[in-house]
Amino acid sequence: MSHTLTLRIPLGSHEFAGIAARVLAVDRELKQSQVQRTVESDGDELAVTFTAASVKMLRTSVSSFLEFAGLVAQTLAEFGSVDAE
Amino acid sequence: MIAIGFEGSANKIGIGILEHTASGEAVVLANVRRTYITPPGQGFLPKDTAVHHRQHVLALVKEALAVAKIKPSQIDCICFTKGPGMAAPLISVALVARTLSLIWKKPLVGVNHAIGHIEMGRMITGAQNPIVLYVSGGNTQVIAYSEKRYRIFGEAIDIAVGNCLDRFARIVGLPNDPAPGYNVEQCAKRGKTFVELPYGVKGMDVSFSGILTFIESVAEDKLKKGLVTVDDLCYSLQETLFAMLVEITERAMAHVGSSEVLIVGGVGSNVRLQEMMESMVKDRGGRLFATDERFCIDNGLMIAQAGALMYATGIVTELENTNCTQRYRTDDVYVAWRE
Repeated sequence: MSHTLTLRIPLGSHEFAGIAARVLAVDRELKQSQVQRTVESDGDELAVTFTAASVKMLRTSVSSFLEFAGLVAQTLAEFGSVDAE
Repeated sequence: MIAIGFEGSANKIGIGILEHTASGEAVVLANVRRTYITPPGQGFLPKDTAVHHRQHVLALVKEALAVAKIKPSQIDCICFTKGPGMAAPLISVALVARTLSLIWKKPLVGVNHAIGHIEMGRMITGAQNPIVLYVSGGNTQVIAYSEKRYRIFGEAIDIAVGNCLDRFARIVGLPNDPAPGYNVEQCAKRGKTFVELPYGVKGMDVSFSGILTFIESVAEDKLKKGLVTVDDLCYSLQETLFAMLVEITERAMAHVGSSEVLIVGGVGSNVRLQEMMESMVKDRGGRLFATDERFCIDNGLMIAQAGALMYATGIVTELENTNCTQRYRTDDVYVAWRE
């Protein structure tokens, strides 16, 4: 699997990056033999590395991941800084 | 105990909030939902459905909290559909549940979608130990509870009954608003000529894809020639499909010695199916239970109900195990909350 890509997504705080990394790491890529992904937090940023067998698989996975990450970022933005109280 | 439930396994995104009071009462605090409706002739695809759910989920969370008049701190557990269903929509909704779980510091409970339907049906109707007919666009199962499992006595071996109805609706161009099956039901009421269709009961199971292929060819032939109307075909299809479902339900009743039937799932809102089932059940001296569209069509409240029952027995789903699964058998779940 020779095609790789690393994304770094700033989320504004250590806490938010940590939450995003944990929730996005849960679902694995559907086609494990074709593409793999690791998700970690690094400071304020989400660090995601994709390794894929083809450019097409890489593009599909990255595209899909960005949509999911966007949703998590939006959830954090809308609910994250308000106390549960 | 207050539970919030997230559901988005097909084209409905729903959030429900439920309270189990100290006296054992279940109180509905909120049940809000949006449906992704495609133009006539088109079904809903996973990617587009996920886009729809992502667009509405956060506003629905706020709406549910507002309707329930509660703050997140009052919630005890966050329940969500683990599966079965479509991957991208399931994951989209689960991501929000997981994120809120970490923000609000509340435990997660991953719920089986079919069990959500069953527990909602039991809660609303009070049925004690019925044979359950679970019929929707994605599922067709005859289920009975036995020794800590909801056991599948019979099921569709190819496509679900709702899928057959929905695809037929697309073939004849019926609208998907509010649901294709609803429009088939309305047309069927006006049907006059019965067209003989193949009958697909195979022991305890049912097969629908052959009937769909057959009725598609009838539509190409007799419908185009004006020998039958869309109403006639809707009527004929419903009578055939529902007779099959009544037969396998009756078989399960006989096996188990049960006199109660509970119909759950979106197709359960079909009045003709309810009529046909009730006729059989009454002949056997039994009782039929059914719910209305608020509860039998996919909704968040059913996930909250099943999740609350699970949580009350001490079940929580650790974050690492909250992955979604497209296939999730009803009998895979250990039903700890029943005798």
